[in-house]
Amino acid sequence: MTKPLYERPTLVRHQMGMMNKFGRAQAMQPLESIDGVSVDELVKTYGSPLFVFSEADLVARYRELHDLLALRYRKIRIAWSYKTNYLDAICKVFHREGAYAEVVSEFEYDKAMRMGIDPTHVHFNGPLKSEATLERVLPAGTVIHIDHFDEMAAAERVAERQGIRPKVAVRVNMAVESVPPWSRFGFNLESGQAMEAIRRLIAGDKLELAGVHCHLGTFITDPAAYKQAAAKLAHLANTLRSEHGVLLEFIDVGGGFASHNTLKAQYLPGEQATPSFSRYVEALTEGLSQLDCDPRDLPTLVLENGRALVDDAGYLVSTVVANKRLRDGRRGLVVDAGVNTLFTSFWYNHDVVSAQPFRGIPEPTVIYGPLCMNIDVVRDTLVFPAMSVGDRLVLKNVGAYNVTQWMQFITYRPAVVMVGRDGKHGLIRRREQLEDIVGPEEVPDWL
Amino acid sequence: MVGALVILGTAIVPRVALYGLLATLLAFGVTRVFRLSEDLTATGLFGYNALLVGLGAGLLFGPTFDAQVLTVVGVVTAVFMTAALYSALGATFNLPPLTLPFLFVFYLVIGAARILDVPLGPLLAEQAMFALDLPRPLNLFLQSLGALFFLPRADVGVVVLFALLVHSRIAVLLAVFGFAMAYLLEGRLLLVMDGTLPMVLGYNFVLTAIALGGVWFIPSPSSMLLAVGASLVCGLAAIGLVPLMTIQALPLLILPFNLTLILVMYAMRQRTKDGRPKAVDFAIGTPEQNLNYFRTRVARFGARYVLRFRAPFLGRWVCTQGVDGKHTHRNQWRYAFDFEVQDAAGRTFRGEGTRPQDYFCYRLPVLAAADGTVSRIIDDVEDSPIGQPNLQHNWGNLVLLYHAPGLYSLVCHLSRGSIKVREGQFVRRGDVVGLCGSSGRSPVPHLHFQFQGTPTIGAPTLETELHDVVLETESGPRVASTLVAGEGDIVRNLEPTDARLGLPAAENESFVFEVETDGGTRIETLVTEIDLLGARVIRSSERTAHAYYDQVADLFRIYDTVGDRLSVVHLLQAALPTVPLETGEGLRWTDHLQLRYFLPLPAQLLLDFVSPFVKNTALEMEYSVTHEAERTTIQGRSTRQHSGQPYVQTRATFDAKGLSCVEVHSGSRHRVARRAHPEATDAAA
Repeated sequence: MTKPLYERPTLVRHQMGMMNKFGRAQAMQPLESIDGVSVDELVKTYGSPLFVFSEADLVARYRELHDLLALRYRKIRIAWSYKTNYLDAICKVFHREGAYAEVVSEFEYDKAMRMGIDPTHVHFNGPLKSEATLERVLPAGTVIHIDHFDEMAAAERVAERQGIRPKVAVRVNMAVESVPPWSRFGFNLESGQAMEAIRRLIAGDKLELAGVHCHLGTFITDPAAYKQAAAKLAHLANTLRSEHGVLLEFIDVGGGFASHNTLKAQYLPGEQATPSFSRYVEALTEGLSQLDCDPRDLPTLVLENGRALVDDAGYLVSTVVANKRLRDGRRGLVVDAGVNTLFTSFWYNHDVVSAQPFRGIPEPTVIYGPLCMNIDVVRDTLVFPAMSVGDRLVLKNVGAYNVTQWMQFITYRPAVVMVGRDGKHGLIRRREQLEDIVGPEEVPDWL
Repeated sequence: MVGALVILGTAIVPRVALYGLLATLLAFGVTRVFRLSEDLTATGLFGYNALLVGLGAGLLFGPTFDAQVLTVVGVVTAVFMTAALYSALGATFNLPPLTLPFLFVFYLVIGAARILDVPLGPLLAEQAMFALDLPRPLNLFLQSLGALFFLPRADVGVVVLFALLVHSRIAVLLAVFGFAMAYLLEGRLLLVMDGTLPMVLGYNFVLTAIALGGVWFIPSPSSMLLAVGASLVCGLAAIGLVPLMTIQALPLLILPFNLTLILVMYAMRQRTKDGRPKAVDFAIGTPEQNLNYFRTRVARFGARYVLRFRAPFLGRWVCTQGVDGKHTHRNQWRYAFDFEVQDAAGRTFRGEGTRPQDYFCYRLPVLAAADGTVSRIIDDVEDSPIGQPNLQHNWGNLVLLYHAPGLYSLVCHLSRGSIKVREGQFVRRGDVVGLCGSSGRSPVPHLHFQFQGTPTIGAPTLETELHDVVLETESGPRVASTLVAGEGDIVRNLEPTDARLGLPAAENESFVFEVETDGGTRIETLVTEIDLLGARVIRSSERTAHAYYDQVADLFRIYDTVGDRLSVVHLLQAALPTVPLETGEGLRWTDHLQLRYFLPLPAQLLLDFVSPFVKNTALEMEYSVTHEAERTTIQGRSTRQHSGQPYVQTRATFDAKGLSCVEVHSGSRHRVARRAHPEATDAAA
């Protein structure tokens, strides 16, 4: 017979409208293992806090999106958005599945090159591409997405100097219903600026127009926005073909698909509110059906997803350091991972679950990190079961942006592991050590 | 080599050889003067018939002026007769003129000689019949071979036999079969007025056996049987003609062979199914070439269709009913595939699955599987509710495409009003023809795909296949050259990327290779071109060799390689017979090479004798692709092993500039060709 679980005593203030203690029970299931590897074993091996990525989830999300696209459109490409999570191991999983790379800086470009990515399999975005960077990436065959006229001029100078005719794309921005426009990137479509830029590019005759690109925004929960965007890009492509005889190689609709996280301002939880990939894909391909050309000349549909592919595959395991009772009667839980580690806790109400079976009455709880900063709230009030010091909890859907935007602030950054198939697991980034941080430091000799 | 041996053979009787040579030259001159087709001349058709007239005249007549004039007229007539019969027989019956021009002209020459009183030369009696000190059947065999060149001498026969052996081992085998029949028959001849009759039977049978058993039909046990049977027909023709020809005092020569060949070939073409023996349906070669080319072709591309059909959909679908399926693919409609879409968990619908739109495949695009003309559409049948098939309009909404005579493909159960093509419209492979639905006898939304022979809706189905599609197996994706989908098979088309690996694609691309040889390296340049008949060719500039290739949207393929075995094109054939233009990891595929090219010469020759009787002489190869940074490697290994090692191993590597190295390893032989980039070479120089 197994030992019965210890139930922590809880004092609950009587509240009107609550029938009894079962009325507030949450349907929370403990997450004791990730892909068959027990959380306990992982923490014992690699320490706490600990980021855990599931290879199976990464692959499943990628394939789901890819296969849905493949059912509806004949030429597709997914370019993995490096900024979301550019750990080598994560990138490798996607590249192995056939993903291109989408980078937005020379640093990310270096990282892709280091991984051995074919430079022609890289889409280079972002408002900063110095002329020195262009000198390097254009001859290698990397496609840059031109953001402004100054960049176009710089690219033309490079092309002329190098005696090449590089392939480029033009980034456009546009207004679609239900999404606040991101008008700072690229050339505006409705005002005619985009067409002007393209005419300028064609007239310059030094760059090869290979594609058009837009990126609506981020965490877009309305698939209809993509239908509008795709249709607008399709019309742009039709105009280019009829007016300039330009057959585009690709149409890039960017990323921005929502993951299963819940934004702070969102009413429904992400599990319910986030549209499935199939709804995004249907919307996109419906929009692209406006393309008016021979099926063999169809441009490749490029997506630059990051969050939607990786977010759900990442977990953060954290350990309870202390329990407190707050002045307003809520429980306070201090854990060993703070907002410096879990940057996305500023945006999301992360889904948190216990990593061990529990009993007892869940009550309103705030989860605090270990920093001595008032902002260090990992999770605002949620109804959570009582935890003891040393218990573990798992924050779900933390795969995107955290291991790129985390800060080395006050504490070391934790280790990141990947759980593979058949119960394999291994480090993909070790915990930081003092040398990692003081290494670049210098003390001038007069001190 | 073979030609030289034959000339040597006839040179045993110098005058005959001289007449033959002069006749050939004269014929060549005539074709030039009258501007007869140069291509046809190059095939040797005119020269061959004229040569025979020349040889015959040289043998028959003495060296008188009248005889020479007669011979010249005969040779010129033979050229005209060849041109006329080539056109008449070719256009009317699609048959070759064979040696009929020679026969007609030679009978005319003999008749004319008699009337004009041109004296017969002494050769016929004295020199012609020369036997060696050998058993009678062997002597007769050799004399029969010699008689093919009007010299029924055993010594000439030895030379001809040797030439034949060099030319084709299977032909020698067939010659022996043919002669054996003749020898058996010879014992039954009651009335032999002319001592040459056994020999006449001999060479006619030999020719018949070789022509039918190995040249016009693929060598096989059935073609051997045909050869033996046709020998008997030839016997009937020969012996039956004896009384008639004797009255006219004309020799039989190879008339029986000509009659038999035309009769049998024409009759065999009336079969409803071409097989056992399979007629040669490509440019004929030696029996060995015919056999190996055909077997490799069947192993690579299947035996049924010349057209290639892709999957009629985008993305990954699962076959839910195959041939002889549980539900409706039975009896005369057994050959058909049903497809649906399933998710990772194997479900084909979301939610309850009570409405057509719950099904993943519902209203997904349906494509033309191959180029064709829209023969018939139906577009007005309502989609059936789930579980309530419409038995009034079994096939539902459909698109029937005509591809080739007797070959139609049908997609049906499409969604109402979704058809995007019109009857009579030409569609290309991959064009969207409609959307998947659930109309007709369709309990749940699915796509039905079949081949049929006629445009009737409900016609019996033909063996349905998909070609060069990807089958998702547990061990990873596999490209299937020919796929007969079975229930549970997950199928998709290749998903080509823009990366083309720099393989030949257009005209005038040049590829310079440094080939490792025993004593260093040599340079070989390959240039792509399009030949007269529109085939894409990679031709070696230094060596007489070329490969036929093609590159379509999703596939690069080398069909066949001919010429100098030392050329790089043969390495390309071995390492890159098929290259899927998809950059996914772990893609594998099977292809076949000609085994004989990888055998040592004695084994090769030995194999030739038995190859018509053994099943598989194509070498099965397993290919796989790996990517590593900018480097792509395609490795091949034969499934046939030799002391634990694959019999043949190949490797082709590609870098940013395309193909960089080809290696072929078989037995102790390791052949390497490295791509040399000319500008780099210049810089080095």
